[in-house]
Amino acid sequence: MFGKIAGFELRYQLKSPVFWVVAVVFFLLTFGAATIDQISIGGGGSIHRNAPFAIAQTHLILSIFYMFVTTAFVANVVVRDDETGFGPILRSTRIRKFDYLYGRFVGAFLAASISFLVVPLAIFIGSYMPWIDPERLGPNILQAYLFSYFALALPAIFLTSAIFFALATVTRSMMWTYVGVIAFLVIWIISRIALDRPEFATATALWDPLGQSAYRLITKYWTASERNALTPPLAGVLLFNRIFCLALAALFLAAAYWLFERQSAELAGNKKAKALKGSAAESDPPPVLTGPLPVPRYDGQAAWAQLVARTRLDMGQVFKSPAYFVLLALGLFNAGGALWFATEAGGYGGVIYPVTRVLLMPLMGSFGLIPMIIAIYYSGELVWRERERKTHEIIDATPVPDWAFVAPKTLAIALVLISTLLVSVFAAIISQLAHGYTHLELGKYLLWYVLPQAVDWTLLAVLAVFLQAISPHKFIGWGLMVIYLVTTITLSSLGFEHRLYNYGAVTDTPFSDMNGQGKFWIGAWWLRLYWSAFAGVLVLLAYGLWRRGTETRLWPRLRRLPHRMTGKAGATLAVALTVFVASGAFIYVNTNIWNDYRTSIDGEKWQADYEKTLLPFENTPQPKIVSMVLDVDLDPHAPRVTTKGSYVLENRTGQPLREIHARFDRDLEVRGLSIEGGRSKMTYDRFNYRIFAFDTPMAPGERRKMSFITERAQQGFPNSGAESRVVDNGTFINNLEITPILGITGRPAGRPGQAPQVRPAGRTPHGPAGRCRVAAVQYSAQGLRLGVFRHHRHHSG
Amino acid sequence: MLIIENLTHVYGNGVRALDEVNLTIPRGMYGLLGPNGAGKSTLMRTLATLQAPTSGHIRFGDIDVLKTPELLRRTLGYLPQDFGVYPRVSAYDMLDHMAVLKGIAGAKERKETVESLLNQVNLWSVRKKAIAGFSGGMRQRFGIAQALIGDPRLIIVDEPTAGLDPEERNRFLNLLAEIGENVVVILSTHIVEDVSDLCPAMAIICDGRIVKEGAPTDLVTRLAGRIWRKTIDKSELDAAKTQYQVISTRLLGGRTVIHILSDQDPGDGFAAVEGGLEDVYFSTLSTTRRAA
Repeated sequence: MFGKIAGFELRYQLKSPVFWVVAVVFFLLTFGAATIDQISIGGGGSIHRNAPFAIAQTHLILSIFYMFVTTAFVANVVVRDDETGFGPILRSTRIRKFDYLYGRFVGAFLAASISFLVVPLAIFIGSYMPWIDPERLGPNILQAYLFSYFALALPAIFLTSAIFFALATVTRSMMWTYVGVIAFLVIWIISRIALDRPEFATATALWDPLGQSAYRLITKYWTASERNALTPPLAGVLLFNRIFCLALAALFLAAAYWLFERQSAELAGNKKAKALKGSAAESDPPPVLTGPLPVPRYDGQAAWAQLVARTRLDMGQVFKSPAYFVLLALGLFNAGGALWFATEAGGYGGVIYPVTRVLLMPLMGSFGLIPMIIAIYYSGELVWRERERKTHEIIDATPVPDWAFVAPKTLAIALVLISTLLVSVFAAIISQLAHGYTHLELGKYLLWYVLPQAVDWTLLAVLAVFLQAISPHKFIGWGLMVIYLVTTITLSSLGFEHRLYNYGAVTDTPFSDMNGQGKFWIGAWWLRLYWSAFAGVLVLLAYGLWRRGTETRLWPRLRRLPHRMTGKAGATLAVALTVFVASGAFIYVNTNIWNDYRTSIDGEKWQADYEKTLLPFENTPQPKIVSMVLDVDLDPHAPRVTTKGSYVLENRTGQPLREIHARFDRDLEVRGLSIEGGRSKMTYDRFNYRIFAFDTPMAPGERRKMSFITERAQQGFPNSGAESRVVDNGTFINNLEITPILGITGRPAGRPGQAPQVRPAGRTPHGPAGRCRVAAVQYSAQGLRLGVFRHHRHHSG
Repeated sequence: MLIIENLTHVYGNGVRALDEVNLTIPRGMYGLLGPNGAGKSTLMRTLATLQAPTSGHIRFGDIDVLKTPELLRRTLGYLPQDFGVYPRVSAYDMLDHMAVLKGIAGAKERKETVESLLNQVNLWSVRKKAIAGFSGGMRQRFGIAQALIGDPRLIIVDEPTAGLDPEERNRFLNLLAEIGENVVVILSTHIVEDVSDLCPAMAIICDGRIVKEGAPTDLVTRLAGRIWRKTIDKSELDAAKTQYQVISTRLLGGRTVIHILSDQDPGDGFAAVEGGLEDVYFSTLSTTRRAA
């Protein structure tokens, strides 16, 4: 009996959407961490991405995140029967309490364990991704995976399952169980911070039931190569800690047995009270019938009422679904850590004020995965809902116009996304208030975060709705979205970076308190207009290809598409296409004509060619600049810097000099350049490198004058690398960016950001002493540009 | 008046669900009787604009149903054979939602519609309960309530009484009978009593073809003197089946009562019976299947 109940429970859980959503979320989290440079959990520096140490850290951290998930699995076991009304039938059977309770618990726990297998799987698959620097990979060590999964993650999952199972049996409420999860996390985090001192290290290693402290203690003094190769033996402190963890879990399971009442008296009381209240309301006298029923109308008012009613119903279906709650809780937990520790972001031990600007980056990074999943997951759910609920026949036979399917669904997802973003803003504000910081800048939250993110995620949702509308099955639609995401990452790493063909891509919009969004927002919003027009086309096509009635094949729908794209739909399509083409043309002018379109691969190639071509000139003797006069004309708003300057050069080499080598910043326009007694001998336009020859060589000790006019300006907006030095408020420019430099003396002539990169930007070298204390995985709006939010703390010992 | 001409539907897998169906359906209740899999639901869904047939024409009044399905939908009430509901939505809210979709735009008109219909189908007392928890009969009554929104002139109910207990079934049929004689009501069913209780006109559909059409009383009269009954042991059944055209068998007190179709008195202990609509139905099916 026990086995059968467990088996049934397992099969039941495997069919639930929560299981699949969770598997996908955790796969993406782990895959992102394992394959994308800016992210790392426990790795970084010389630790391999698939090093045993990185695998272990990933398992430890994600098993904590997983608490939100196990709770959904095991609490559902207890709460479900009362929600479905199936409870009385079950309770009247001869099932023993032991079988009923533990059979189901085991089934749910197994489902949770199976779902967590995506974590090692994602690391393993990730280690074969072509874009990872091979130097950052080591051999895949099976033992490390087994150890991390079975010895580190599973006991923690078992323990949290047991704790929240017990809590659910007492509270009989999903909500109160989740409150318990939050309380548990808060206590756990606070105690870890409080006990984070060397003298407690062994004690916490023994008694921290989730195993983080134990693993930390053991690996504390490991070198990078040890972390890349070793798995600690399951002995000593670690073994004791694992046994303690399991014993604690057993204790909670036993408690659940005692606390479980087949029919909770209190619960029965509640139900009765509810029933009474309900029947009172329901015994109102029925209304008196008068005349014939009102007749339908098909005017604007009816259309508006239909839009509102459909949108509200669709939104309600999202907000009331358990998966939404789990997603939001996960996102808020992740964001909570990032927000709380954002004030330490200075990195020099100082604490900064939690101003809006400081909180927004970690918020976007740590919360961004949630709107992404919502956009993709609920597009599938909503598009297919009528069919899955079998309401499509009665709904489709009503005179509701065809747009009243696709438009409200898209709108509902957009509104859900906005609400979700607002909840995250609320979390950020609570974090500010909790720090005692009360200067709330709601306008910045709105303009810098909610609005742009809402548009970006809605664009993704529209694509997902369109793909679902043409897919023969929900899972195929989701699969297409995953393929789309992977393609996006792959294409950009192959150098296809233009935002005009990366769906939903916008230019970067850095913001600061001094400069606001500067002029960066202009390009971004032009691209949002461009992609919104395209999304409009997608919505219209989804409308034209919508499955109404029982016809599900695509071909007949494609055939009637031209017929459906007439009238108002056709006019709208024409408007959308016109906006799309016109804004696209304007953007092209900005990115490719007024500015150079450069990819990062181009940039690297330019850098390499620069060095190859000009290396022969290294150490060519050059005169010294002994005096410099600069007339710098700043027009920050344009933005433009015109520099008229002159140098006095002196030959201190002790030999006669025949040539002057002047190099300029790559994007600096040289309006004029003259050197006393020199004539232009050679110009490398591509490298902005000029060689002047003297007819009369410059004698040792001789002084000559050099004059130049340069202009640094930007017209419109480029595809990437917009002017960030000369801005309305906060211009900060270096003389090397506006004046000639003489000769090649080690420092390259790119902009500071374009310096040859020994290691890719954004990666923090991470010695063995540093460690990841709170890891929040960051995802940005633009298709997985990922970064990790790391906190380093120096050992106090 | 609903006119169906040469309606044929062939599914992608080659199944010919409708084969040259021609029907003229007048105002009032019209029964469409046929066994499971005869093509009833395909016909109903086609009439309800949910799927396009392979060929044929459908006209309702001056509406060309296949060309302008949106016009028919404005005057259509449809209760599908099997319909689901949204979770966590009450009967009142769902009916209100359906009323919006059917074009009852004003809040006041909608309230009037919803309350009046809930009352009419006797769901007033449970209006705030989730439909997901309704019994089969309650669900069907909800189904007919939503079909009646907006005074439709064509009402299609597909297998509405399947799975209902006798009391629920009676209540449901009473409801249908009330709907009035001024609209076309097509009742598709495999239960003979549904039709004999309610419908002044009917057709029998089998293997996608209309095999008999007319008023139930006429059809019964036409069969007079051709139905014979005998009570036999179960072991004799096979022999009887080879000897006579057995149209129905039924158990009575542990023995088998068979009805056969015969133009002459078969003798052999058979007694003449006054046939009912059931005999019409079974004899038609039996004759059709013999011919096939």
